[in-house]
Amino acid sequence: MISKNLTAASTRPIILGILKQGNSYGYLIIKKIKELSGGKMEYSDGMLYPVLHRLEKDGLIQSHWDIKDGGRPRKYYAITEAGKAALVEEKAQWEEVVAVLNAIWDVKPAQ
Amino acid sequence: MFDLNKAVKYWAKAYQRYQSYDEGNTLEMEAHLHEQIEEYIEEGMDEKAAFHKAVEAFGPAEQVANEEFLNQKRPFSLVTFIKLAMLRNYFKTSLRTLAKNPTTSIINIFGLAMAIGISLITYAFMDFEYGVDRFHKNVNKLYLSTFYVNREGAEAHYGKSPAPLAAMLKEDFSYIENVTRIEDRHAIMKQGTQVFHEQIRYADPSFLEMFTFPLAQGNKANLQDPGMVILSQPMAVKYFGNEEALGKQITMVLPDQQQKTFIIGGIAEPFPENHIIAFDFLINFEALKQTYPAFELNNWKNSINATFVMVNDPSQISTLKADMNKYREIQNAADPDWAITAFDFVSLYDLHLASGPIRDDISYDGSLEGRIGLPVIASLLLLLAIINYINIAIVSVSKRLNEIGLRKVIGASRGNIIYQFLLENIVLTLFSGLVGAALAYFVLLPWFNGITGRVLNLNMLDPQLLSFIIGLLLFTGIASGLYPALYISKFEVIQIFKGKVRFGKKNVLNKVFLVIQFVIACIGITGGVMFSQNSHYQAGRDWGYKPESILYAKIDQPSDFQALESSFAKNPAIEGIAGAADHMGKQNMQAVIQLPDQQIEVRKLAVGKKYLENLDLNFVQGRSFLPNSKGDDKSIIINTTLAKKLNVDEVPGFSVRMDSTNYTVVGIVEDFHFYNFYYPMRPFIFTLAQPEDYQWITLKARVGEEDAVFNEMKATWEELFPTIPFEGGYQEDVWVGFFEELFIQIEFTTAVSIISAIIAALGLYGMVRLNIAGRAKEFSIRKVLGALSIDLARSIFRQYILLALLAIAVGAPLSYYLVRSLIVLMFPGQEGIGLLSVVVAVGILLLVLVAVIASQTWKVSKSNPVQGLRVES
Repeated sequence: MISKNLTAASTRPIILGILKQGNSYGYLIIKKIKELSGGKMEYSDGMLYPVLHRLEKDGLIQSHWDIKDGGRPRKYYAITEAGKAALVEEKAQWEEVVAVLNAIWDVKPAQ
Repeated sequence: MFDLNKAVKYWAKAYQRYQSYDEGNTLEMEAHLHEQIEEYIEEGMDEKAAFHKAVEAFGPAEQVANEEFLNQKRPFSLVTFIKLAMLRNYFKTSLRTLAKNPTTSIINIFGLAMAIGISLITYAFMDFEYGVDRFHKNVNKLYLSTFYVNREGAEAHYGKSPAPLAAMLKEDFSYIENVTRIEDRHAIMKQGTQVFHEQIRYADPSFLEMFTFPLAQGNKANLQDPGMVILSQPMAVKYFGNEEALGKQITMVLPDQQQKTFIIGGIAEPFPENHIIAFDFLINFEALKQTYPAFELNNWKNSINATFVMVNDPSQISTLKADMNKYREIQNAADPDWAITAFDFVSLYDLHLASGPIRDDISYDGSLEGRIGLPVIASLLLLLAIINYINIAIVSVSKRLNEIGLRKVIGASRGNIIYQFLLENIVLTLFSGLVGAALAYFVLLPWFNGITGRVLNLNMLDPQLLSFIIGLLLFTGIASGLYPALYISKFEVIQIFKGKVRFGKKNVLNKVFLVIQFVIACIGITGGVMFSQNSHYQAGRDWGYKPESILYAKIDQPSDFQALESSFAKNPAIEGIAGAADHMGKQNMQAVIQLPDQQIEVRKLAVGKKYLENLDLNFVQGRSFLPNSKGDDKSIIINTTLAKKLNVDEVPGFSVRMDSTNYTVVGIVEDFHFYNFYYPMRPFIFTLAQPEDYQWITLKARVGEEDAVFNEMKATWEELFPTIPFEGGYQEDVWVGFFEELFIQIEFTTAVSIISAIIAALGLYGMVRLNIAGRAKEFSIRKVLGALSIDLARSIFRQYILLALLAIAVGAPLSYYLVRSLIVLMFPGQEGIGLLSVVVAVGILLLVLVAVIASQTWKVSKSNPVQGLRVES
């Protein structure tokens, strides 16, 4: 199980990452996260929406309603250019964290 | 049966309880939940189980809602944007409403602006008063030594001090940081061709350390040199113009014609406006020994103007007070006339405000009535304007009922309506505030400074003033807007559109407001009339002698009197010449009459033999000083105030003890006004002055020739004593500024009473209009049935006469009492007021009532009844 804090911290890059692969809507995004994490990241589904709305407000993603005849209306989200830039930045940061952790764990205990 | 759609709707509705959600947000979540449920159903669950599982997976509503709320706390959320847009709309509607009713708006804005303007003047005044002499760095460490003496059975507080006190204090108490003595003397100062009478302040060098009077030029240490003088900036300009004054010489001419030269050792920076304690010429205290060798500084019988001590810790003052007893014993042994009961210390911080009741102190306070009167006037005007606004706001809203109804129909809550009207009101108040500030700055302040001779100012960038203005505007805006907003917003839409909303018919609060307004207006008008009445009375009062044809001059030494007398003797226009050591309205001495059981402090005028005849004082009993007798040295003449205190039944044969000598009372004169009418009558005595003590000459001119005599006196003076500046004038002018102040009072109170009458009239106008609007249908039917204008007028009048009578019943006695108290405070025991002022005020108010009702009735009678019947149908 991945801890709550770590899950919360990683939500942003995960959503941006998913949307970079293509437009999607809330239910599908959450499903994808669960799939990718193999159920190790525990979410209450509802907590996704405030994050989506915040990203939209920050201009990193944008949304539109898709209403097909007879179908259920869905609110689709798409990543913006700013969102892509933010994702690159996030990625670099996460890699640095990983690098630091690796460096620490690779050090052999002093003899 | 489980209804899935309904269940989801209910679930979503739970979210709408949180303020972070509107319809759109939950729609997205509903879709999510449906999709999840469908998936569970596909997996084989029934609808109900699927629903519950999906809800559980979605998580607790509160947590999600709180998270969502964080998004909306951002400064530029959608909601903020909408609110801003509405703000703009409200602003626009405010301006449109204002523009649609220009008369009402101007009236409203003018009333509020006037009240705000007067409030700002009051602020400037209070700010000045509470800042007097508080700019000194050591203001909280400096204390004036004072003492109490028993006078006529009561403790009298004095601000002067025994001359040797300061030196002993410094020696005896190590916790006293510093001490300075201050003594003021009059002298003639001469520099080149410039010669003037001046006030000289002698002080110890520590004076400049204790008080904050920075020097623009020169060195503070120069005050240690008894041969140097520190000038104030205006004095440096007066004597030296643009030339360098520092290091130059200036000559003091003493009463005995001796001259002493001082070197200018420093020039002070201009003093802050709100000072009372300062100096023109500041000289080392020790110089007194040279300029006035006869004045013994070690003698406890001699007093000096002030002694200030400085302590680091104010709590030491109470210790000091307790330790002062030993000086009391020394003093009381030396001078039983001035037997001190206790010493005291008054902090410089409080001195100005406390100095009213303190006698002979270095500070003074002539503004008590201003400090009471102005805030009262300002608050009453503000209250008047606010009530007025409330009334008119409610009237004008009757025209906006449809707007309110429509807004409610399209979803405005009561809060929205309140918000809108409060905002409109704040816009109006803000506008009034701007007008008021401009009014205060450009009109009222110059006017106030002009008539009072003060130098108040409003620094619009001062944060304290700004916060006062903001607070005042917020208070005014909310106080005047809250009630109308609440009142207006509570109407129900259906009632509005059915035309069933009735205004002002049974509104008790409106009636209360009207009564309050009438009472305030009554006070305002009574004040105006009463002050005018009093001022006219004061201006025409008898002074107790005849100042009209008296001219006076201060003489420099006794021989001058003989020179002047012989040159005037042949002039037929001069009916009398008299000399005196003191002079009516200008100079007197303090003396103490010893009775077996008490001491009475009196004012003493030592005068020459023909002086009393020259001034034409009225004798009640006894005689004046005899022209040829030499036996009047121990005779005194007293005024009736003193005669009453002494219980003199018959003169002669009555004698009093004063300064260890017995004096026989030979005459009693009617009370006279040495001081102007602000001062109550005091006990006075006249003693006989010897020609070698003369300091004043008085001439009695033949009626109609006063100017010619005055000019001749001046010309003669300049011929005889070219080096001494002439100091004299008309006796009628001795109360410098007093009559100007009376004029100020008339002007100021008239302005206040006119403003309050206008505002009250407007308030009444608003009320009557409100009432008539509510009764339009009734009046129309009456008109159709043949009612005359007079009938309508009677019907309206009947409604208000009771209110007006109630207001008058409360207002008339209240205003008489309040204004009388203020006038008595200013003119103790000699106010010239009567009930006329209240009668005039009541008359004006009734006149206003009749005029407003007549004008409105006329309007109704001119209107077409058909219009009135259509309304509300």
